[in-house]
Amino acid sequence: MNEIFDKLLIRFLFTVFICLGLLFYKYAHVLFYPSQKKQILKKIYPSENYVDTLHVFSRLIGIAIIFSTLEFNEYIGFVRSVLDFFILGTSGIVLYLFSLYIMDNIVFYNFEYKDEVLKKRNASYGIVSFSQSICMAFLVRSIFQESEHSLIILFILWLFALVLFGFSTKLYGYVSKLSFNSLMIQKNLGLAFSYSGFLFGNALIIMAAFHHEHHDIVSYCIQVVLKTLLGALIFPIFRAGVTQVFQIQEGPTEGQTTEIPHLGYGIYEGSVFLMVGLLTSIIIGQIHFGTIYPFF
Amino acid sequence: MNLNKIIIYSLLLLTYLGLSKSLSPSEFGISYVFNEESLSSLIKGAPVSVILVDTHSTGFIIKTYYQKYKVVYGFQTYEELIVRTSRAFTQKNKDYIGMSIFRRSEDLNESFTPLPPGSVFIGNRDFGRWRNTSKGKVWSFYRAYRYIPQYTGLKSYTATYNVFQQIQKSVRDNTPFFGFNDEFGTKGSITKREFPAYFKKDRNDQFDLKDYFSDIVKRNFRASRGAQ
Repeated sequence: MNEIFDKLLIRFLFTVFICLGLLFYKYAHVLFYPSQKKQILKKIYPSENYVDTLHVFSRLIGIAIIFSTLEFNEYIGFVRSVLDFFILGTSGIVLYLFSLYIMDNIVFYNFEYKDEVLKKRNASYGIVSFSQSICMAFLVRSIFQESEHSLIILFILWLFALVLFGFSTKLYGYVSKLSFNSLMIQKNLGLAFSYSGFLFGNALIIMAAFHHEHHDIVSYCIQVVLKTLLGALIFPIFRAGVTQVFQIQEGPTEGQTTEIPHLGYGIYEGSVFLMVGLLTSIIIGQIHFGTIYPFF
Repeated sequence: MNLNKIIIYSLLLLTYLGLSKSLSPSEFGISYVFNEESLSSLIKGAPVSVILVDTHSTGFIIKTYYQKYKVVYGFQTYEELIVRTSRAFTQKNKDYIGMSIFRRSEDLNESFTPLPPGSVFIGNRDFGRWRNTSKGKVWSFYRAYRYIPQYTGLKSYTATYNVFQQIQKSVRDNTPFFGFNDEFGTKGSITKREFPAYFKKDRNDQFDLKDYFSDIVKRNFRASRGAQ
């Protein structure tokens, strides 16, 4: 009975630790957005500003995604497991928050959280921010798994993943006919769906590129770069295939400037980006040729 | 599709191929043997005998060819060497498994005629002597070099003076010599015994559709029936 009680107590303690992680985000939010200090520290009324709700809770979902990869193995020693859990959990949250801060500055370099979320209640901003948070969480989770509990490798891979993801977001202008800045100002939902699909597709490809065996960090990083490049080669082929097979007329209909045609087009683009990202990740991550060395 | 996109895609393709080629782990530490001359420049020292012990190809559409050599030196232990080769070189040597395809004598004479393994040491007075037996003159290695027949796979082979003369003649005429009873080469009995690795691999790995489906049936139905 004592043993069962102990186990239950340990589970409760970890639950409290994860809650503390969420509390940590509350104050990190103040650090990242200092001018909105009062806004996050006071009570949140989700129905008041749904864009802000989307923005804040996407980050909380992200933290939960990162925590979902952590493990507590009592058989390696109680203190050791607790410390492992604490150190990896804390570094995960810190890296995730820094990722968000950096990605916010890359993707929304022309936009301010205060203006877009609190004043204008820009739904497009909220949806893109939501997608970005989830994508970053999955990326950080993925490199967490690849780093195999080594903090140095975790840091190197995190930087590497951030560079790849940051660079990939800048390619949106090449693959979409939608203008990010102008449509974001117009709170265009089509843009939000299109860009979200693009982010999810990119994240899937980069995660697939990171997912392979590694014996030394240099050859591992080379393989990641090669797989990412391969992704960039396969992605347009799938997209062209979908467009040809379904005879899709690309681009918003001329003469119509309302949001409705853009919404449909944005949903189409987002869906295609997501689907093509998934299919590309199969090609670069799930086709195995066995050993390249001759089996003499 | 406009021209800019085609150019960017082509550049990406070239970058990928270039990086893959130059950064591929298979390119590190493995030499490329294009022909006999490149094999000669790869092998250092003398006297030395290079025995082809295995050959292998990878790739489904564009194949890469590899050969494995046993490099037997006169005054040191042997070493094994895996090289990437050209298709032509592989095809040329496909019948010479277990044979010496390159040798260099002490006076730095080189020969590429396929001969029995270690033939460069036979008749060399530094390594052994001719003994008169009931079979006639037979080559015998000195005790200090008793490892050479083991390394070359000649330990059960009796090198008579006739064999030696035939080796000399084959070098002069540049014609392969498989032994008087075809003991050497890919079909040779001594090769099969001394270099079995090549023959262990299933080189006729044919896909059988019937076997494939019967395996599926076995795995999915018979196993579950057994579990019940």
